[in-house]
Amino acid sequence: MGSHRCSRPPLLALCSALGSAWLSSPSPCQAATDSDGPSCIQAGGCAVADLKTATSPAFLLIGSSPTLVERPTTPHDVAVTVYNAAKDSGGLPHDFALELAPYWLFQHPQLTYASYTKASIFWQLLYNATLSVATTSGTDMTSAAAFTDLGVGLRTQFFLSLATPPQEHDVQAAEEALAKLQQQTAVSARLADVDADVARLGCDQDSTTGGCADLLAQRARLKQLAVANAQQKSVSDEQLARGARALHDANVSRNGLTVSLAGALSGRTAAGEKLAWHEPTKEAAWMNAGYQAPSFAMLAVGRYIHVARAGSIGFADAGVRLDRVGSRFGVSAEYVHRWVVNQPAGGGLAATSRLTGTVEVAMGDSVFLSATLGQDVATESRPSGAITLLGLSFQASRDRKLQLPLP
Amino acid sequence: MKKISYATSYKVGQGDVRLEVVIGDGQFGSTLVTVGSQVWEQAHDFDRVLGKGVALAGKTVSVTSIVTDTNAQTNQTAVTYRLSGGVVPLEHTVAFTVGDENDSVDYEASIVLA
Repeated sequence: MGSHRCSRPPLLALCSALGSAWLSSPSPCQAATDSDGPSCIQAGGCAVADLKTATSPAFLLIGSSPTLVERPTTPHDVAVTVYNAAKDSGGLPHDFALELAPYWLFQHPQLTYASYTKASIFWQLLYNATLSVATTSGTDMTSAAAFTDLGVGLRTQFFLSLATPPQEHDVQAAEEALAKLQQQTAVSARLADVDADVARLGCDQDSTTGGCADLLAQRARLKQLAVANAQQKSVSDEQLARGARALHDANVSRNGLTVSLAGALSGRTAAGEKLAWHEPTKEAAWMNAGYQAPSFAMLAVGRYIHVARAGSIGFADAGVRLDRVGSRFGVSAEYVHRWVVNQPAGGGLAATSRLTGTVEVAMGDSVFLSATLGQDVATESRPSGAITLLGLSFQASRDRKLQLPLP
Repeated sequence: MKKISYATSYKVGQGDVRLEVVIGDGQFGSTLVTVGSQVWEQAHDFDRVLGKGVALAGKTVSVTSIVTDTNAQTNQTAVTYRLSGGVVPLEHTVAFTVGDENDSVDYEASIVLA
């Protein structure tokens, strides 16, 4: 969608400098034409969806799409994973990807459900932090020298609940339903133990045996509870799992504001070096704020990205997207502005804006028609780049396709 | 469902014996406690006085906690038992990491009050 331009000689030089490691978008030079203004594509796509906080920022920054990501869950696992990777490569591991949640590397036996689910922003940022580390190896096109790029990134988020009373009620109802299933399971388990003790001591034949009076009274009470709790005789593991999923669904259906933050750095190590931090070096930061209600969503995004290689270039983006979804139609509008914060040698890159609107209509149970209209504008040169896109999509599922994007 | 057992004894004194059961790692759990003919059931964490030490001596406290992994960040689960009011306080944590999201664990503790 949109016009792809990579026009001026400085830009071509930039494209060359960035090479294949420029984010994960297609090479900015692939669609070069000779128009004046830089388009969104030169710093990666500039739809709001392209600017969302990266799930694994380190992978994104070095353009790595690893098929295998190590996810150690204990400090010991981390040590073993890193040691093995370094040992196999004799230094900085090649084409390695690791992702971990630092807080959850350790046990937290005193962290209760209530504390976790009602955590303050500070604690949510800690709970949700993930660290990503990745390397990717390649060969420099100009010098033919082999290298390994190393990226390190951190991501986290917090959620401010703005749940309506019915949504809060749904969460409470899901908690009570799961608690009831657990209590029924606990009563059944305890009752089985008591029955075994009663049989072992022969309490049914002689209730005066030591401890029998207590055991029989306890059994009677447990049977009362079992009857009071029971919707069915026994609770299966699958019923408990379903109860847990229902609780999760009730929680994520709440209206609220999700704010996510991420940052990443990368540097290059030449072949033969153990570990270095040479150019091109890159830094990036992301911030999203999304509000979600059942049929309406708003997402604001911000991103800064900087690359240094014999000079430097940096872009800052800000964008907002609004979505309204009905049962048969969806309407969305988005606006993104890109500033050139650091001009490359020779300068001349202009800021750009993009405004688009999309309408999607369900034509039947599985046929959807969408139309997108918009415009790219290079603010320091001539306006250019009308965007028009018509689409028809088919889907096999009978579920409603029109849905809000996740913040 | 995986069953994790823990057994110990606890020397009571003259005063009130208090039992606290904490379900950790942000997971959702429910606890059933029995002592003699007494039965208590409690969603989430359990914290109450079981009785006077002299009345409880010789009885067994049975604690059954069903913990379901509802925390998407970790598959770790843990239950901490804390007894006080006896000669010395007792605290012990039992932990288990479930294989799959939403799995449940049956923690069973048996504490003989001496």
